[in-house]
Amino acid sequence: MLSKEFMVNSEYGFHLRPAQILMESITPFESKVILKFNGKEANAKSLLNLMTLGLDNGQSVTVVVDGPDENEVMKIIDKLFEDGFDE
Amino acid sequence: MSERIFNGIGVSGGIQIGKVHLYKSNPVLDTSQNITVENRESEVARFRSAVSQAALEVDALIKQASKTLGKDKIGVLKGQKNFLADPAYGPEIEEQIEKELFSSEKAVKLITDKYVFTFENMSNEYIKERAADVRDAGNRILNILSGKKVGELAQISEKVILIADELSPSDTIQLNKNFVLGFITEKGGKTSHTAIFAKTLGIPAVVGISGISGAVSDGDTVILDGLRGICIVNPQPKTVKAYEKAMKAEMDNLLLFEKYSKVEGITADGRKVITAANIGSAADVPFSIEQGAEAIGLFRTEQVYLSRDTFPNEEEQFTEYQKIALSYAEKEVVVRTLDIGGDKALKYLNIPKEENPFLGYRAIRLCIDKKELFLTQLRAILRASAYGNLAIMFPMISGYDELLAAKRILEEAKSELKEKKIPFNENIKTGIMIEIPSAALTADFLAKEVDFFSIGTNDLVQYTLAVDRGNEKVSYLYDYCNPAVVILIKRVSDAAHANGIRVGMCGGMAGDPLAVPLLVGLNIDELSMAAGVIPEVKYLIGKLNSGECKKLADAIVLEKSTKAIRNLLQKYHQDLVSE
Repeated sequence: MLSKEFMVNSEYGFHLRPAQILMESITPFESKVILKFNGKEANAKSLLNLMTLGLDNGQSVTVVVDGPDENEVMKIIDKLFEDGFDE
Repeated sequence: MSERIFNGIGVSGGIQIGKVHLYKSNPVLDTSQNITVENRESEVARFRSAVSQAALEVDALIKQASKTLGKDKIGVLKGQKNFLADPAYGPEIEEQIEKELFSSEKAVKLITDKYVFTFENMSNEYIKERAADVRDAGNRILNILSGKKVGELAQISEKVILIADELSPSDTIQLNKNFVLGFITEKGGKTSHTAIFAKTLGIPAVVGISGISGAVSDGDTVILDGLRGICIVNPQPKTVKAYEKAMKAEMDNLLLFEKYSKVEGITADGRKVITAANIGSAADVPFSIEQGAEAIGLFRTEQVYLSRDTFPNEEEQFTEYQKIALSYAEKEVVVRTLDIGGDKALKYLNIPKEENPFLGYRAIRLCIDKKELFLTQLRAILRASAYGNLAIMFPMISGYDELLAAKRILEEAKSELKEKKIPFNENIKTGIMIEIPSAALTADFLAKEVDFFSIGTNDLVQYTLAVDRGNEKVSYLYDYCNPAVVILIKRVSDAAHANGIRVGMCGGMAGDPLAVPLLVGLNIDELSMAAGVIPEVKYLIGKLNSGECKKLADAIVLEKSTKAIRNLLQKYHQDLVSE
């Protein structure tokens, strides 16, 4: 199990496109990915969960990855947050 | 396959022979049902199948959209596709089906509503907007579950005769007359919107044939006779031959009338009768001009307000009205202010449920009460008046005090524009529809306050005879030949002329060939009708002598029987066309 904190760095917050990109990037993998924010938990493979998290720009979220390919998945998530989800 | 003949109400003339396209309109969706334990598995399977189909539909849309729409639109469609496959959506719905024994419809509605609610309460604007996509995904599944085919009518791409239980306004606007040769519905009456629509489009239609949907199949051959209200399913060869002959005769007539589209409406002895068109939107413009409309006696503005989720603002309205003004140039266009309520309810205007919508909060009453709404429309019309020849008309006026109240608001709109130095026609003509008996009876008082009248016979007959024109049980009573109606029309016409103003008519009676001689005899100055019948009416007017028409009218006014009056008109018409 891996856990890391990230800061949201996209102009309009964690809205549909970033959520979609995240979801589409990690869905093919086996590991479970949970985002924890403000006492709420979201399954990263669920767009509905991600969007209702209420994550905004400049806020930090904890990402927990658990599974056989967790290293690979965390690397991908790292890059996504670093690139600001391409926006 | 035996030949079967069905009779209904012919609402738009013409003969067509073609293949049936059966349209099943929305069954009422029951989202309150529960299922039994035994049905659990099959219900889950039913739901899963609906979701798969929904995903396929969205895929098809994405494919289509990538050719025509922008990247951002596709993103939204992809979002919908993702919702459909989301682990927090489908599985939650299935849980409701399995644990709570809800039907698919009930479960879909519950979970969809939950997410819509959550989204709408997010502070992030962008996410809030996506609530609509969640709702779309849910509705798509519900539609599939109910077996309704969405957008089907717009996709008809071969020549067919449409048969449906009924056609709503949003159904009819999808019809393309190059493919839909004519239609037949189970519900509807002579002056229902379906009838008006068919006439505007110029295609034959028959309504009121109960059970026809169940009696035909897609692809059956059917003969449609819109004038006589006849529908013949799987006709025998000799029947087809006979109708083909009748069709040719009709075509010949049409060609005869066609040349009259180019002339003006004037009697044989030189009395002018303005022959105008009723229109509902910019889409009606080309046909009305083609058919030779000398003016637009009624521009129904409701279309600007319908099929929307929000109010059309002043700019949006102004754009529409300006388009119309420019299209007709110097020809006068009478713009009727919002005539909504009862049957044409608006989504965003919360009109509380009424016992009697036709006697209720609608049209001018609603506008005077919702002053801002009214001012917005009036300002938009006034601004557009700088681009053509527009006139304003208030619907459903019931008396003098109400008329004055409406005029005061119009003055307010004019002042607002003057203050902002926005140009408009300061001498714009203002008139009213006479469709309520109280207005007809006090026409003399009202004539002194307006520039013109337009008699709305559809509603005038309804209110005068206390008959619901859509009620099949009593619609036989609905007849403009009733002496009371004739007397009222005469009263209105006389009052108008005594006060030097124009009197027109924009109800169905104005476009009825039978009524034309009577109306000319009663000194109606303008007849405004569905564009399709303009050439025929001009042709008839050209054959009339106004003196003879006056004699006819004088005789009719003394008649006490509706039937007798109708017979007189029928005989007059027969004599007229056989000359």
